[in-house]
This record gives sequence, C-alpha cells and structure tokens, in this order.
Amino acid sequence: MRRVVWLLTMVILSIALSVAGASAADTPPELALTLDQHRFSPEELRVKANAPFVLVITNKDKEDEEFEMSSLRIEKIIPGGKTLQLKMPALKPGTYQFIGDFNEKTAKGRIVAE
Amino acid sequence: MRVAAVGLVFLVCCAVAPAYAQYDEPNITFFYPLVTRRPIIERELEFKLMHTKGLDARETEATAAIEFPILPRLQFEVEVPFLVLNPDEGKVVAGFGDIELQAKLQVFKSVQYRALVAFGLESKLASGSRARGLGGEYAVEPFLTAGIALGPFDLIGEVAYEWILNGDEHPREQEFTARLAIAYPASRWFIPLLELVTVTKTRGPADDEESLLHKTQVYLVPGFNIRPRAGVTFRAGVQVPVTTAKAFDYQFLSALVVEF
Repeated sequence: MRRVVWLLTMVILSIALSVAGASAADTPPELALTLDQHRFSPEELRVKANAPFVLVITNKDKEDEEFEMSSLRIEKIIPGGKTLQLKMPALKPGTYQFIGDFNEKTAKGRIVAE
Repeated sequence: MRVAAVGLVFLVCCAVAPAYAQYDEPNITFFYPLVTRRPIIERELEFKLMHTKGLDARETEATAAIEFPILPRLQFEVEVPFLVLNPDEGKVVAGFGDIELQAKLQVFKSVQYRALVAFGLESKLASGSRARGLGGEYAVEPFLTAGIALGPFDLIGEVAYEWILNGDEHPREQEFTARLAIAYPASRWFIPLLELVTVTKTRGPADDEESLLHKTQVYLVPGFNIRPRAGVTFRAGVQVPVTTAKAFDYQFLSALVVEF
C-alpha cells in the first residue's frame, strides 16, 4: 500500500513539475513601457512576430490613461500611479500604432513585430 | 510521509497557477451598432432619441440608460423611455414607456482572434400605460450576440426571441429577431456601418388583414459612429423596410454614449 502511495505521489509530482517547467518555458517575454507626463517611453518597441508577449505598462502620471491599439481593437485603462502587465496577442509582422486615448496628441508610440 | 508528499505536490501546483493568472487581458472594443446588441461589457450612460413613422402614428422616443458591470464579464442595464405618440387619428399622448432591464454575460473572449460572444436576457416591465398606447407590456427576450474583426471590417451578429407575457390578445405574441451589423473603422473618429435586420412574428393573433404573423420583415439600417472626444460616441442612422411586410415606414435612430 505504501509503495502504491509513493508511486502515485511521484507520478503526480512529475506531472506537476513538467507543467511547471512548461509554464516557465512558455512564459512570454516582457517589455516595459512607461507613461510619464502623458508620453510613452520608449516610443518604439520591437517584438518577435507571431509570439505572444507581455507589456508591462507603468503609468507614472496621477491621471488614468487608456492604452489603445485600434488596429487590434484592444484597449485597457491604466490607473494613475499603477503598473499593469498586459498579455498581448501574437502579432503578424508589421507596425502597430498605439496611443493613450485621453492624451493622444502626446501619448503615442508603436510596436514593431518582426 | 504521505502527508509530506501530498503537501509537496500542493505547493508545486500552487506555485504553477500564478504563472498564468498574473497578467491582465486587454479589452476588445467594437463600433456601436444602431439596433444590434454588442457582446461588450460596458460601463456607460446612453441617451437615445428615436423617431418612427409608423403605419398609423408617429412616435418619438427619448431614452436614458445606464450600463454597469457588476463583475468583469457580467453587466446590468436599466433603460427608461419617454414617449410622445402622435396618432393619425386622435390626440397626442405622452408619458413614460416600459422600463427595460437587461443582464448580459460575456462567455467567450479571444484577444488573439479579436472575437467576443455574450448572451443575456432582457425583460420589459409594464410601466407604460397600455390604455394610452405607451406600452404596458411584460416581455422577456433572451439573446445571443457575437462580434469579430475580420481584416479591416468589424462584424456583430445577434439573435433574439421575445415572449410577450401579458395582454388580452390570444395567443400572445412571440417574435424572432436576427441582426447583422458590419462596419468599416475608417478612422478613430468616424465609422460608417450597415445593419440587416429580420423580424418574424412566430405567434400571435391572425385575425387582422395587416397581420405580420409568419411574415419576415426585413430592414436595412445605414448609419455611422462619430467620436468627438475620448469616451464619447455619437451614432445615428435610419432603419428602412425592404419588404412589404413592415411594422413602420421608417425610423430615425440616434444615441450619445458617455463612458464613465
């Protein structure tokens, strides 16, 4: 009985470890984007095409901002003084403009997928 | 030993789970159709103005609505209409119509494919005066709505089925509605759109020559969205029948949406 329990435990453990390993391997790359005085920095981000990634957006302003990529139909409110880790879809090769919807004259940039 | 092993497995599993859960997902956004329901969970105020040239009356309806998410994927809406009814024969009447309540649950979201699916239930409360022609109907209408971005176009489709639950008519009316909206986001500020609407009364009294029972009414709704500033959208259009089976001659639709 003890041997069966041990065997079962090892099987579960190995599955859990393999999932953990896979998850670590699948962890998408993170790119930092900062909003300060209603300007994004850097204004250009380069990512690998056809692979998901994470945008770590920090809003240093006091006011909320809405990150928007209209070509992808996506948007997200970034509260003032907060950081969001935004899971982004895999992009086909190309250039994708983004803006801060509330301050679009200054808050703008692009993601280049290549 | 056994407890230790189980504890170890539990710890590993707990360590794995946050790797998937820590990221935020962006919201998907589409245009505002004029009559088709959107599969989007919204947080906004809406002010609608509609004028209908009916078969025996002109009707103007001003509506205020609030849409509010109580969970990230569950939204409630309350809509209060005010009607002015000008019949071809008889005097003008005005007053509040039937209040509508709606719950909408988003059941599918794909940022990768830019697609959303939601279903919901709308119920009409008989708050308007039936005697004065301002409503007075209890009705329920489950609906399913889905949207997807295909290349440069956005498509939103919806099917709904309405049961009227009160009234002296026998049998009580039931209606199937299917809507399809297509838009071309020409810019962030202007989006032209076109909707196709079909309405089929599947049940109801048939003793009237003009009865629409089992006839499919088809309407086209050309229109547009204008976004004068961030968080504010104005939409307008006109719904016109393209079949002889019709409930009205034309209907002007407009709305101002303010996100909050």
